[in-house]
Amino acid sequence: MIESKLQIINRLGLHARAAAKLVHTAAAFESQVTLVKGDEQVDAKSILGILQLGAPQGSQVSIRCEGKDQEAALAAVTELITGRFGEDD
Amino acid sequence: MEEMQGLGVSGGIAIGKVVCISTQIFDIYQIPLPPSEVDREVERFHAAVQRTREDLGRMQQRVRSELGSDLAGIFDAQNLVLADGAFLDLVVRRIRGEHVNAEWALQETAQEIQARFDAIDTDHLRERSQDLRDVCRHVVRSLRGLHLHALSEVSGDVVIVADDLTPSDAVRLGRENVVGFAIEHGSRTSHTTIIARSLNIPAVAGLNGINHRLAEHPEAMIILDGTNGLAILNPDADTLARFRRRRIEMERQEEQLLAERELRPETLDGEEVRLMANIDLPEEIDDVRRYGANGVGLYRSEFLYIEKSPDLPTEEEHVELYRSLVEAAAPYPAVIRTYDLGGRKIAREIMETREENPVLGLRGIRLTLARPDVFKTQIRALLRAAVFGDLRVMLPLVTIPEEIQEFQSRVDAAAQELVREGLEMRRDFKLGIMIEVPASALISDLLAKEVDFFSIGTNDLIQYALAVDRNNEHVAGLYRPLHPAMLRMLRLVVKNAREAGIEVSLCGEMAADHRMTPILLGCGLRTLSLAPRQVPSLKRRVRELDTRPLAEIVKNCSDMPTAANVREYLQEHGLADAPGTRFT
Repeated sequence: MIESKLQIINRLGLHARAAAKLVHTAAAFESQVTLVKGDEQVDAKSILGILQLGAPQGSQVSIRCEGKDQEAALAAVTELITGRFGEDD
Repeated sequence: MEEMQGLGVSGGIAIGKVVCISTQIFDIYQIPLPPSEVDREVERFHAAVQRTREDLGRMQQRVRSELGSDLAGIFDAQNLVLADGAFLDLVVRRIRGEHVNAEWALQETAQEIQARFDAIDTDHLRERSQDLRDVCRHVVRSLRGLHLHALSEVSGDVVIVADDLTPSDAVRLGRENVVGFAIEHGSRTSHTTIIARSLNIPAVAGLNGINHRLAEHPEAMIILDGTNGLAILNPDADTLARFRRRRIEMERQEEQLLAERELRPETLDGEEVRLMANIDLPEEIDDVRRYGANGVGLYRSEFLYIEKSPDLPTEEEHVELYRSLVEAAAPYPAVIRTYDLGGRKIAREIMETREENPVLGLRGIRLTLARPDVFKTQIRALLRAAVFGDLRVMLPLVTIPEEIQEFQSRVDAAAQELVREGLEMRRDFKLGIMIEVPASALISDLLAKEVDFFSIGTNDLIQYALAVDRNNEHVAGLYRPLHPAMLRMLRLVVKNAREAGIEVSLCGEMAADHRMTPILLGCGLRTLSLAPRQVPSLKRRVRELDTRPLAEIVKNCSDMPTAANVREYLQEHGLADAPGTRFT
C-alpha cells in the first residue's frame, strides 16, 4: 500500500464534475483507491462516496492505493488533483 | 370550463389530453423476505440497475443528438451513480443483512446518503440530491417492471400534469407525444423548465391544486398558454378554436424568427436602431447571439440572488456570471443592473422589515445602499468583471443625484480595497441609471450630468406615473402606455439625454410591443432592450418604418387628451396595427 498527502486546490473543491473525473481516473486502475479526509475514508471509485466527503478548496486529503498497479494509480490521481482537475482556477 | 392562473415558464400554446403522472417515489413498503429468497432479490436488484443504465444511456444518446452535449451532461452524474459499486454494495448488503425487498433497501440507503449530503456546508458540493432521487426512482420503476415509455400508448397530443417533474422526466416526455407541461409546483429557474424552454414545449408552473381538480375529470382536455401562464381545463368549442388559431399564428412567427436574425435593424430612411437583450438567467446568455441581439441592454442581477436564495451569491459567482455576459455581448456592451429587490420581488434574506407599501418603500438603489455589506460584494465583482470588456453598470429606481454620488464613493472605496489586495479591476466602466420614476424623468437634465447613460424602465414608470397597478383587476383598465403623460415624459427624457450628450435606451415591455415601435422611434429612441427571442421580429418591424414623419406625429399625440385619441390618430396614420402585437 502506498499513500500520498495532498491538498485540494481547485476553487470549487471536489464538486460533482471533479468527483466524476476522479471516479473515471481511479476506475481505470485495478488497484483499490481510497480517499481519506480526517477520520473518514471513501472508495475513490464511488461518486456518492466522494460527494459525501464534502471536500471544499483547501481540504487536506490522503490518497491510498493498493494493488498491482498502485504506483500508476497514485501518480494519475495525484496529477489530477494537483492539476486542479483541468479547471481554470 | 375552468381557468387557472399560474406562472408561464416556457412560452407557446399547447392543447391536448391530460395525463397525470405522480413523480413521488412510489409508495414503498418494507417486505420481509424468507432467507431462501434473498439471493433472488439481489439478482432482481442488479437486473433493474442494468435495465435502468440501458434506458438512461439511450436517453442520453438521444438528448445529445437532439439538444447537444450540455444538456446530455445532466445524465452523466446519474450514470455514475448507477455505476457506483460502493453504493450498490450498500443496497445489496442491506437486502442480505435485513432480509428486505430491494425497493426498501434502496430507499433506505438513498435516504442515509441524502442526510449526509444535507450536512455538507458548502453549497455547490451539496447539490447532488436530485440526481440521486432521480436514479432511485428509475430503479424502483424498473424493479416493478414498469416501462419508461408507456406514454406512447396514449394516442394524440398529451399535456402532462404533475406535481413536479425531474429533468430526465422532462426530456423523456418531451420527446414523446407530449406537447405541454402543467406543473403544480416548480419555478422558472428549475432544470425542468429550462429543458422545457430548450425543447420549446409550453409549460405553466405554480398551478396550485390542479391535480386535485383533475381528479374529478379523468378524460379532461386542457389548453396551456405558456406565454401568459394560463391553464384552461375542459375548454368549450369557441375557446378551443380561438387558441388553435393563436397557436398556428405563433408557430408561423417562430419559424420566421431565426431566419430574420441576420437582418440589419435599419429603418426605411436608413436610421440604425440597436436592439439589445434583456437577460434574467444564465441559461439565456446564449440567446443573445442566437437571436442576433446587439449586446445585453439589461441584466437583472436580482435573479442571481433569487437563484441562490436563501444564500447570498459569492463575489466569485458574480464575477463569473458578469464575465460570461460581457463575453456574450461583445463587441456590444453588457449593461448590468445592480440588484433590484424589494417591491414585489422577494428579498427575504436582504430585507428584514415588512413594509406597508413596498412599491413605494425600500427597493432598488435605496435597498442596495441600505445594505453596504451585501452591496459591496456586488460592487467588487463589477469592478473585477469590467476588465473583460464593455461592462456597464446601471442603478435602479434613482430619484435624487445623491444616490449616484453615494454609489460612486462606495465604488471608489471598493476599488482601493481591490488595489490593496492586488486584484485586477477597472474603475472606468460606464455608469447609467434607470429612469423609472416620474421625478427622475422630470429632472433628467440634472441627472444627466452625473451619468453616462439612461435606460427608461417603462413598466415601473407607467405604474408610478399613472398610479395604476396593472395586476389589480379593479384598475388594470387604466394602465395605458399611450397616456399622453407617458409620451411627454419619454420625449423629455430623450431630449435631455441628447442635449447632455449621453446615451438613452428603453428596456420595459413597451420595447417589445410592435404597436409602440413608431412611437418610441418618434420620441427619438434608437436603442431598445427586450427579451432575446423577441429581437428578430422587432428587427422586421423596424425595417418597415420610416422615422421622418414620426417625431411630428408623436409630438401631436402628446398633446391629445386621452390614450384613445392617441390610438385613433395613430390608426389614421396607419401606425397602430402592426401584426403580431401584444398590445392591450
